[in-house]
Amino acid sequence: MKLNVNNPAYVIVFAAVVSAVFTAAIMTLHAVTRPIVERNERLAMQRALVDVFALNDGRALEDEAAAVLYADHIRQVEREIVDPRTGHTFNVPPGRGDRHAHRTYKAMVSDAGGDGQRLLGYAFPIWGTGFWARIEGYLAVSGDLKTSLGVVFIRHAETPGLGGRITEREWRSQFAGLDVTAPTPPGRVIYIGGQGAGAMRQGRRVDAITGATGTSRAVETFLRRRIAEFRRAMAAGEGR
Amino acid sequence: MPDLPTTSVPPRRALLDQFWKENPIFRQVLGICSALAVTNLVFNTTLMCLGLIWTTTMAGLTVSLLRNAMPRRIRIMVQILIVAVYVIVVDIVFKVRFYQTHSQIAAYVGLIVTNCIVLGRLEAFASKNRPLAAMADGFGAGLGYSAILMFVAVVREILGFGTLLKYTAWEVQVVGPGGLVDGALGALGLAGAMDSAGLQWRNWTIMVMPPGAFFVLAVAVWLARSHALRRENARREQDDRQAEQAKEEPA
Repeated sequence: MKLNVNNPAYVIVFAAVVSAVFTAAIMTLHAVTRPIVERNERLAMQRALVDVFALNDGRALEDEAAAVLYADHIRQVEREIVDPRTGHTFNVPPGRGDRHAHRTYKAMVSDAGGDGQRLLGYAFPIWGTGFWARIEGYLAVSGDLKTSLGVVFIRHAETPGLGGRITEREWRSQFAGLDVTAPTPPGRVIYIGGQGAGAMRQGRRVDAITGATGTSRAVETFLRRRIAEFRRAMAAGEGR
Repeated sequence: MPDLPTTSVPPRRALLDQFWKENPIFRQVLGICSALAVTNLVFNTTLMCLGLIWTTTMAGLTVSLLRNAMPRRIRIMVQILIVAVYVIVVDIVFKVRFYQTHSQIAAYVGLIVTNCIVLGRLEAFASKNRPLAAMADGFGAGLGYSAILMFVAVVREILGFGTLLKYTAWEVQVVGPGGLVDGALGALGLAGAMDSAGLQWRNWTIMVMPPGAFFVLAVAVWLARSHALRRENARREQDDRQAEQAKEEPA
């Protein structure tokens, strides 16, 4: 008996079966690989945090060494951190929110005397629109929120070799030791690129990336916003 | 029963035709968008090419296997579904194996679904041919695309960064910025002369940017087409000579 492949009922059944079979195959593969992908995501984040707190060069470390450094020194902040003005959340308490929720971490290091631990600083999430798409990362600041310790970008779609250089250690290293206290108007908290060595730029300026002015400006814009928001959010938390 | 007649192209011929004679890039000028987007680093290009080869090969096989059962009116929808499935497989594998690089090229991997080469080969060949030939055709198309892209990527990375295989998932840095070109100039005995003349190698930023791909791709297409044309002319002349000889010989 010849099968009429153009029969409407056959078309519907064929489409349903093909969709079901292929969807099931993809779901199975996704389920099988999910633990590995989650592990990769976790490791990438741990490396980024080790890097941003300058505990070590996170990208050069073995997986195990990065995990040990992370476990020894880095903890998620316990309390909720929300900017009262914009409503942006920088931290949800541990155990709450999905795994993609913004989180703030703190790093503890051995005290100079060696008999206790002191707060090295906080790494809070930074995000914003880059030249092409959204950029995400962490900025680490000292415990008193006055000095930046480093920056790291964990997700972006900037042009490799141009805007993509925001991930390079050489460029990021400029962010260590910057003054991130509230600027005196009309000054800005941070300057990326631009000419001049005025008093307002003192201790707040990093070089832009040659050939990636758009990315540099975008990073400057969202860093300024996030730093101001995080400072407000921390102040609001202390007042409660 | 089948809507389309089954033709019988030998797999070897299908592969070679797509690799060279009907090359997707320099003959059909297809898939140019991704050729421009990902070719400024060799490692990213390699991953993209592997993804496309896998997709064209496996989608060709699947569509060919289903060709007699596939209703003609929904064939494009089914073909897109099949391509999307294989692209998702690529995406998952990259996430598992090359997590860092995946974050940079994920957008382009997703775009393989809409790559004209893939759907073009499915519609033009796989839906009318036997599975082995369809696989070979897809593999050849992917390989032909990759050959040109790798050429473009090597030129762009060397001129744009002065490196090869920098920023790989394994952080393999064969040479530092400008080092490859500096090294090559040194090997040619030109480094000293350049130094004494106060000259030094500067990376070509335009090669890193999309316009650089236009230039290199145009050169690649020009070289490939010139070579193909020379071969075709030589073959035609040889055929003509043989025909003349045959005429001159007494029956």
